[in-house]
Amino acid sequence: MVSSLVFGSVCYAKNYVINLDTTITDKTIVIIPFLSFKTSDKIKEAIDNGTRIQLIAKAQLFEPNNWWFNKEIDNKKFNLEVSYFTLSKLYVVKNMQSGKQQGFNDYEQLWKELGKLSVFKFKNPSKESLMVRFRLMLDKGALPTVMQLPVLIDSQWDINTPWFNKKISPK
Amino acid sequence: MKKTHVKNSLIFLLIVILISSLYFLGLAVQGAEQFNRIYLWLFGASVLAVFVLGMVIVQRFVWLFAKRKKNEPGIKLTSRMVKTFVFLSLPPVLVVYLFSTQFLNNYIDSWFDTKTNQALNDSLKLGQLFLDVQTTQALTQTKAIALKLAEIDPPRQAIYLERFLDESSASDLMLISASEKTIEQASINLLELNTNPPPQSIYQGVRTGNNYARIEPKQGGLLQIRILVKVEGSMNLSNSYRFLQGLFPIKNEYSALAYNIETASVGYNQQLYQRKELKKTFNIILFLVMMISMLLALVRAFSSARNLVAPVKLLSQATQRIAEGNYSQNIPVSSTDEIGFLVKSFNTMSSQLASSSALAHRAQTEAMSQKWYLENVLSRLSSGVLSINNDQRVLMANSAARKILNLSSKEIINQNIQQLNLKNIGLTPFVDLVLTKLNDHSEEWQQETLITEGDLRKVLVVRGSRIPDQEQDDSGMVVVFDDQTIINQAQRDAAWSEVARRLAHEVKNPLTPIQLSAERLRLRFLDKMSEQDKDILDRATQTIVTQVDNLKTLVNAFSDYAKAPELKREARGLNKLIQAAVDLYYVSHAGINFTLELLDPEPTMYIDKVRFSQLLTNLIKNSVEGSDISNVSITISSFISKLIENNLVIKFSDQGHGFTEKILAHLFEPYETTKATGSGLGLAIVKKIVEEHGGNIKAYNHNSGATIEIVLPIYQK
Repeated sequence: MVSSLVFGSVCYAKNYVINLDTTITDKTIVIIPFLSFKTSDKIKEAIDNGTRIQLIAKAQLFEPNNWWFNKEIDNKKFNLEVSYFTLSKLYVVKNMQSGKQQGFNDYEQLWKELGKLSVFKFKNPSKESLMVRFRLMLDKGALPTVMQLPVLIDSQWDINTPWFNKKISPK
Repeated sequence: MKKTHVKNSLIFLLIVILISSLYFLGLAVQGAEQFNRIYLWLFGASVLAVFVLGMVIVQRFVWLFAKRKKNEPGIKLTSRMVKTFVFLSLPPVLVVYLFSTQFLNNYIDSWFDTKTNQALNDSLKLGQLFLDVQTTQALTQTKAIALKLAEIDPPRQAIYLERFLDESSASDLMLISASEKTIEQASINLLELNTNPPPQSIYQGVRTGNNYARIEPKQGGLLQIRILVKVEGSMNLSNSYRFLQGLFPIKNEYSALAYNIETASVGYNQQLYQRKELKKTFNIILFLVMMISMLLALVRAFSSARNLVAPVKLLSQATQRIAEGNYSQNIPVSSTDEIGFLVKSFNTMSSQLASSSALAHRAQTEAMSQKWYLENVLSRLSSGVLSINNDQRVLMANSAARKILNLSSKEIINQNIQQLNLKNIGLTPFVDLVLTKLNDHSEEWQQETLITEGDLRKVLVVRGSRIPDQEQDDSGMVVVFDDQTIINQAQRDAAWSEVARRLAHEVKNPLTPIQLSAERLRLRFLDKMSEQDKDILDRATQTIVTQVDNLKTLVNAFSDYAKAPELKREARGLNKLIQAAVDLYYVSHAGINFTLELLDPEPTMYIDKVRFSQLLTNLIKNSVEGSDISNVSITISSFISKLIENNLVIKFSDQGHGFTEKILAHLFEPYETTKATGSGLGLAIVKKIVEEHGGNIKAYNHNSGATIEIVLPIYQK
């Protein structure tokens, strides 16, 4: 009951997670999110003008509990930096933790491919029932200082997805 | 005090946090990386601190308003000073704020000029042109390799890939199947094998015949060219196409230059784009600074005003207490400035006032003590004492004076001596005497005068003496007077007693021989005389005997008056005695109407019943004999005295013709009677008995007769 209240999968924001593709092996659980993700013109303008924005991709693995808070087994997160490379007119997404980056000609294509760049790999805890959840959100603290305050109150910068929960059975 | 200290410390801490937050906020806005992440927290902390400071100011204003409503001392001065401080501090802050925002906006605009923008754009285009050339070369090479590969049997293509890598300037060649799986990869750097596959998004374009060629940033600030072309499969057995990706590095020096151009251009564009936000942010920070300055000025205004007013307030309160008579005031000296000097001077003045007041108080106490002692002594005097100033005003009158003159303290003190006439007309001789002596400036004098109080007359012996004064010749007169009435009466009573005693002694002795001689003469010569002489002798001797009897009665009465038998007093009631006396007369004298209104239950008296019966008999007899009407009505009543505590009043009232003025003055003196046959000692004996029992007696006329009133003390166990 509590968990459904806290982690309800109702999507109420403009951007949301359509589904989580889970690949379960004996040792690992791989999660690939499918997103419905769009940005405002304001964000595009900011990126085109050299602003680097960072997104935080967060995934958590829970053992569900019907009558109490879910027990967290593992959680992972990484930052994805989106920037515009003027010399070749390329949008670049960079994983800040691994350093890997990928260029996109098309801005819209970037956001379509974003889920594929947010792949999480968890160790399989071999439980009967588990719950995974994922969200993507803007890292406001990584924005240039002067933009942090306006972003805080500007709805066009509200690109966070709500948590998406999915039950899985690893065994 | 401790609470205020804690409060001030909290405000100080708040100010430190606020200023620190603003400082770090400033650093963050200027691009300091370490503060970028905590920028929002710093901003929030600053806003919160401003809010708290604002609340402190609001609380101070509420405090000021509440104190003003109560009209506390010093609060008006505090308000005025706060107002002054605010008006002094706000304009400069506002001016600085307005000029700063104006200056800042203009300054930020001046960062961006068209020439710099143009130069950067040109350099960027130049870099792009250079890289385009490089890209074109790389594309040409890759296409050439793809053509060659297309002619090679697919299983052998992988073998040739290394060779083509060596022949070209590529750093990495990758052969990819139509299903986007890597078939073979040849790379100069073996560590990069199985890495850098083309993004899935670009396959579709290449499939449709559009080659992909793009400059990409690499890790370590380097650039590379990614080329993806289609390898046609016309020669293949499977007749399937493949993809060839070529990665071409750009020389480090070119990469660095291109990166610099890119960084500078991006940086410039970013600043241009963020110009508005930068202005807003600076304006917000400046606004915060202005608010803090204003609020700090207000806090300081309150604090300074309170600090400045505090000693003034203390001075005001202490002055008020001094005005109320509490001279011992000491205010702590908290500064060495003029205010401190003022406080010191005030303390000195207060101390001197306190010591002077103590001296004055001591003197006053002594004077009061002396006055009290004098009044006490005077109140113990049986003589009346009056002090009168030259304005004829009575300054002092002791209790004996008030009693003798029958006036209250209010009716005498501070009244003109002539006013006493109005209060009591009977005092006129006394007042006239004093006035005369005051006016003729007699130094010392003594004179007897007579005052009346209703039917009573009092003989006063009045002595006067001038009161000398240091500055004036005289400052009034002290008048001492004694009520001589009782003394005179006592003297008269004593004289009468002596007269009565001698009279009884001298007259009583020859009476018996006279009577016996007369009776012998009658017996001896009565039968021997002619009828005519016989009659004469008989009447003569009869007259002698009768008159001697009368004389004997008179002498006995005098004897009774003169002698003072020892009282045999006992505690008992009066009602029975009164009833017995009335019964005796009621039986023997028909026609007397007695009305008894006696107190019941009656108080216990301490009396000699024989003497008291004589008193009652004398009074009833006096009423009966004094009345010339046939039906005599006598009312005897008793009640507790309202004037003298623990005393019983017995009133005898008849319906006769009352006493004349002349008789009333000497009613209780011996030989004062209105009756032809009376000895004149009845009421004198009554008075004597009353006085023997510690009481007093008075007589007066009422509307239809006379009243004699006796006051006797009630027995106290």
